Amino acid sequence: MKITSRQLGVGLLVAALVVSVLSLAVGPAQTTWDILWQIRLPRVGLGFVVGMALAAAGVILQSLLRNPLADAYLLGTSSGASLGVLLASLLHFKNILGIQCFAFACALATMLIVYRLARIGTRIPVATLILAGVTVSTFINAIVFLVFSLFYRESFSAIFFLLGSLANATPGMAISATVVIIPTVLVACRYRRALDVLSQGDETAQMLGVHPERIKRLFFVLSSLIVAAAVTASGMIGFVGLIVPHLLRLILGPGHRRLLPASAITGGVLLMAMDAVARTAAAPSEIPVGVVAALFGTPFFIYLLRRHKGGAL
Amino acid sequence: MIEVREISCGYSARRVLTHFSLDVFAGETLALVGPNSAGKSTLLKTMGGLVIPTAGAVVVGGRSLSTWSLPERARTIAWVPSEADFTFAYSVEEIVLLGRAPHLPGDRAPRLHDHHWVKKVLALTDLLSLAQRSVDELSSGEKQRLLLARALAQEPSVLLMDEPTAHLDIGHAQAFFYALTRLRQERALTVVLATHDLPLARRVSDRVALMRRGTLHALGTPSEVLTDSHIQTVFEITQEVSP
Repeated sequence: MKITSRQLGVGLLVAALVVSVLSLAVGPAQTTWDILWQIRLPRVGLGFVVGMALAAAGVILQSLLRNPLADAYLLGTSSGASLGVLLASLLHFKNILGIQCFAFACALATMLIVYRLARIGTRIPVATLILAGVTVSTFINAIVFLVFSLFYRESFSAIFFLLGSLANATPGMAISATVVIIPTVLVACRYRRALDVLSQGDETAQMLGVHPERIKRLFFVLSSLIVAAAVTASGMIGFVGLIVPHLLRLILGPGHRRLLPASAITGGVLLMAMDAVARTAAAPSEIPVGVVAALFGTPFFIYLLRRHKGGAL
Repeated sequence: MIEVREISCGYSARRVLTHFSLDVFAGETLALVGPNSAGKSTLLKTMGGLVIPTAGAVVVGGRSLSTWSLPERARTIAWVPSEADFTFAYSVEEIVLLGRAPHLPGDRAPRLHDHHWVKKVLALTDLLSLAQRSVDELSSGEKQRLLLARALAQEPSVLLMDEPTAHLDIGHAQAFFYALTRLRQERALTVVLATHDLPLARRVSDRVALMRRGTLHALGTPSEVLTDSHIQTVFEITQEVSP
């Protein structure tokens, strides 16, 4: 059955409303106005924009690299951004914008290194992409852990950061993530046809009037920006960028006119829901939302790897 | 329509074409014929702007190709590659609609005219019944026709084709060229195709350019060029080649 754009829009809006209301209503503490406004609303809002960022970055990277297994976590972009956050904190940056700039620079640099390493001619095969991503992110993670072990006083909160958590959400953090992520996703949506064209290959894109390298540069910058903003706010949360675009591609098809905005909203809804689980499943203790995402995401990733045997996804 | 003027080009250290010149007239079908490594595909790519010559120029409609913007070029010149390479499972109609991209600046949605044109090229390439089919469910011949349909959706005046019938059976190869002939009559389409299929080159082209090791060995009508002596020299074979 083909889903119309109106049905899709209404469905996503209803899902976003229902999940956000439920997320606001549940938590280890009793719901009071103060808790609702000062703690849960920023957290739920941040969960939505971070989920949005991860899923949108997933869609963008998968099309850009013509590889359905690409995502910010697997490619090391998130690790790069986390190194940037760490460097900024070592240099005593307190301003969120300054931290975001460091995260952005490191995320972009990491992505370009992985892209160069994985590319064979004009293709980026699945095996080399994953190998390059894993190698570079392992190296960066080693640096991150080294620095953490040298500066062990900060290591407790750092563990939550590395596992991905929305526990440190503040109204300021939610706003600063939102002002980067939402406009960047909207700019990406403005160029979504170029993503469709680019997913046909560089030569074809050129013959259809699109500069492949120019569009790649634009989207590398946009995806680094949104991943950096997400990582600055919540650390490294994997698999949302992999699961959401893939599921929606199965339902809606690969056309970015619907896939990109629908993935962004679904990513937001999914992360809000996962965070509600993270907050309440083991209350009064809290599970980092990155752990919840990995618990759901890993079996799905295995399924994807097994299914991907050279055919179109 | 297309003037190739003294071009030299190649890939890294390997020079494929050296001071190569060729004129393609408006509305004609020119077949590039020659053995492997003769430089057919490189010449085709240079005509499309995919390969930038290190010397010389390609002039299309009186203007050097290097001065054209990419969307402008895509509204005039379309390219049919020899192989289909689809990573994601787009539908046939979606792929053909991508051919309208040069006519749709920014994120503008396709208009009625675009959808009409897509329907028309789907019908021309015998893909109308497969419009909603996913590309990963197509046979290689159907994919080949899809590549042609996507190129035609650009409403080009020049069509460059690299081995267009490599994956087609005789029936579909014939239908493919009937469609092309109809389109040429309608739109004064200029076609340049690289092919190994000599009977096909003989049947569909107005002129044949016989190439060998990056040079033009012979140029003229099929009956002038596709002679046994030329073929024997260029392909270094001795058997009869007439169909």
